[in-house]
Amino acid sequence: MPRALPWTSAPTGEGSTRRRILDTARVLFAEHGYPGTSVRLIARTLGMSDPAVYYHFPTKQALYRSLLIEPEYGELPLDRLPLTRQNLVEQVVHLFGWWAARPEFGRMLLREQLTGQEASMAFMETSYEPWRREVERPLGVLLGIGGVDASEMLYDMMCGIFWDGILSHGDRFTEMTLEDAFQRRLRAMVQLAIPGPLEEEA
Amino acid sequence: MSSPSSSSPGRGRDDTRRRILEAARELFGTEGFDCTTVRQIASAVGITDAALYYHFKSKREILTAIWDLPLDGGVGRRRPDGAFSNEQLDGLVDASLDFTIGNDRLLRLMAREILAGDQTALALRLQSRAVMRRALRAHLLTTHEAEEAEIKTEAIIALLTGTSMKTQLSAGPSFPADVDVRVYRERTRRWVRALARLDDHEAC
Repeated sequence: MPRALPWTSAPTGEGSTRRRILDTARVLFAEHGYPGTSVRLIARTLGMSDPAVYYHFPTKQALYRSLLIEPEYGELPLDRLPLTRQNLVEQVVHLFGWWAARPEFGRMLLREQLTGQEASMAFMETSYEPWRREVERPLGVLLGIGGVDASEMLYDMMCGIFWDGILSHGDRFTEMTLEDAFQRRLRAMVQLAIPGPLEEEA
Repeated sequence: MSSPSSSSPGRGRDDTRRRILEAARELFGTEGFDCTTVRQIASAVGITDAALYYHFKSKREILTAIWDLPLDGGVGRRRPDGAFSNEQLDGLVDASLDFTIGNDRLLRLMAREILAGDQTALALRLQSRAVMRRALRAHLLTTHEAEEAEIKTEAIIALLTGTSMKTQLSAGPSFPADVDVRVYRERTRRWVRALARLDDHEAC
């Protein structure tokens, strides 16, 4: 049985079955890949019948696509703090935290992206949108013309930290990211990637 | 099985073994490990299934043998020579890029196998990263304090991982043919230089 996932609240009624199917499917897709996960396996894992799953999702592909939602990052540091380099570092760390809490989601995506599956490839673009809004724009305000380039570099570096984490450590990566040493190093790396003085601003 | 022109049976055997590994690497990389059959590998090499089983007991054993191929792109042989310069840094970046460009299929396969829980592939990945990490750190330590060298090493490795994976994933199966390798290389060098800030460091 898949364990409960920390970032999903448990809504009641009709929504909760749908939610349970999605949560279970995410874990199974991450574990067995898209081709290796049948609707039957998802249904059996949940103790449901196949038709009960099909009631919510007409096809396996529709179910997979429902998992590819644009990240919801919630309230961000720059929503309440002035735009400084230091606060932008916090903004990037906040976005990274969303992904760090979801290694299964990352594994599920990466597995299919490595085989060139269309839906997961298209999602690479979708997931860049919030980054463009929440990091690239403020970077542009701070740096002017160099903002886009700095943003792309920083994005690739953050992807590298995440991919390396889920490849090397699997689901244990989430816990590791919560350690003080990791948090300190992460901030120092992000700061390094944003042009400007290395010392903290006064 | 062994080619009639080979002077010794031993060499023919090695050659067949090598051809099996090359064909398997190609097929595993395109079709995936699970979807590739031993028959497909044998027919790609032009031998019978039975002949293939003479060299490898199972498909899994072929995969394990593939992982024995060298995997650090020669980065591990580079030793620091004087104060770390941008040109030396470019050299390390090039070695890493050349390796990822030349081994796209193998690296994809390795990542997929790791995600599917293959411990051999994971150990290999960790080992090749340790080599890269050691080389970068040794170079940075010629001009940096330990803690700063550590941060920069991690940042550069993360950037190289992210940018090469993203470039390879975005290009799909047409990598590297459909990628302007010169632009990709220039951009990566420039970004890694920006992270390393070697000029900054000398000025301080």
